[in-house]
Amino acid sequence: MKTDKDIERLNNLKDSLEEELDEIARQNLIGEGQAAKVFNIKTANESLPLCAKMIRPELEKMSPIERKRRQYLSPDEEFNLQEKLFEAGFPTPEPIARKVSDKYNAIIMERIIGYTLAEIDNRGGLIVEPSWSELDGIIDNLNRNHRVVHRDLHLGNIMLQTRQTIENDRNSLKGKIYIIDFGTSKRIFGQATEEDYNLTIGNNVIRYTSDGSSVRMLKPRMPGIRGETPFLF
Amino acid sequence: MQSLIRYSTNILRALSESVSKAPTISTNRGDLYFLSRYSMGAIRLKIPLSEYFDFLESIPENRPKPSWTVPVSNLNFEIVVDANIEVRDGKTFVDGREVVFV
Ligand SMILES: Nc1ncnc2c1ncn2[C@@H]1O[C@H](COP(=O)(O)OP(=O)(O)O)[C@@H](O)[C@H]1O
Ligand SMILES: [Mg+2]
Repeated sequence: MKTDKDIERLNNLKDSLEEELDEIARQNLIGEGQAAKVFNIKTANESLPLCAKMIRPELEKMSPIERKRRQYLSPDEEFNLQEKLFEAGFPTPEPIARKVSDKYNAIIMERIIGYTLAEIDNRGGLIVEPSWSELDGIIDNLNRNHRVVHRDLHLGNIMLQTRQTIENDRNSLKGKIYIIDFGTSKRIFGQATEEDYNLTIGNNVIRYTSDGSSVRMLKPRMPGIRGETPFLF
Repeated sequence: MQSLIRYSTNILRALSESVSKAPTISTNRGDLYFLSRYSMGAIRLKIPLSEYFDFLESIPENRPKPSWTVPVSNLNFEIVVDANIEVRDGKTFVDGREVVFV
């Protein structure tokens, strides 16, 4: 049974959470996409870096039918999927919490220090390690073993975790690949169909077919030409 | 409260595991366990939850904000300390200011 005091405390928690999220949304914007804005969260030096993916309110207002039509997951579904993948050892940022207030709908997670492949590509960087085939393997593993099709694997949804900077190490970037943004992913139940594998809403870097063969949608990087891929093959 | 703030299973597991070690701070109200990987903590209460909140509300100055002490149920601790805490000399600090959590 809830007493008046419990209700008052719940309201205080709500207000306090709203303030906390307001504060985060005033800090550094580190990225944005169709569905969300992502902000840095201040943390102690020794602890895990964190960020908050704030889902755009327009998306929140979307009805379940509209959501289905656009094939967006709800923030809870996205968080749950990322949680499941992280628990299974898949290279995705560690999920921390879901925080929801009147104004904000946030996924709190590990912030990957490094760059999206889009940033690396735009700034003419080149990744020497890992190689393309490792990325291919990560995605194949996602499809086949975790039974998830990401559907939106453009260069902005793949990150290289590295302490290097593009300025200093433009042509010799090394790090660890992370896959982010499961907001439009789909779980495969039962036998995967060709259609499952072809579900894609953007410029995926790779396509798979149900027989397991992969088609690279990017051309190898040619010296002096950008816009294809920041990988050595 | 569940619908406002929900922690991932990996966080709750890490906090649960920290509780089996020696507490970082111990008072007659409860034990605080500090998890440096996340700068978060878990509190195992020795008093009822409502009394704990009464206590927090009675602290004159260095009182935690309500979103820093989130109650959880069905675990081996009752409170998630979610505030990027630092621990020095048996005291807890948030943004360099001392805050009393237990
Ligand atoms: N965990 C993270 N660590 C660092 N940067 C991130 C992280 N998650 C997202 N970002 C940045 O924010 C951008 C948008 O995030 P994303 O999850 O792709 O949102 P959307 O669903 O709107 O596309 C990403 O392209 C990336 O630059
Ligand atoms: Mg994205």
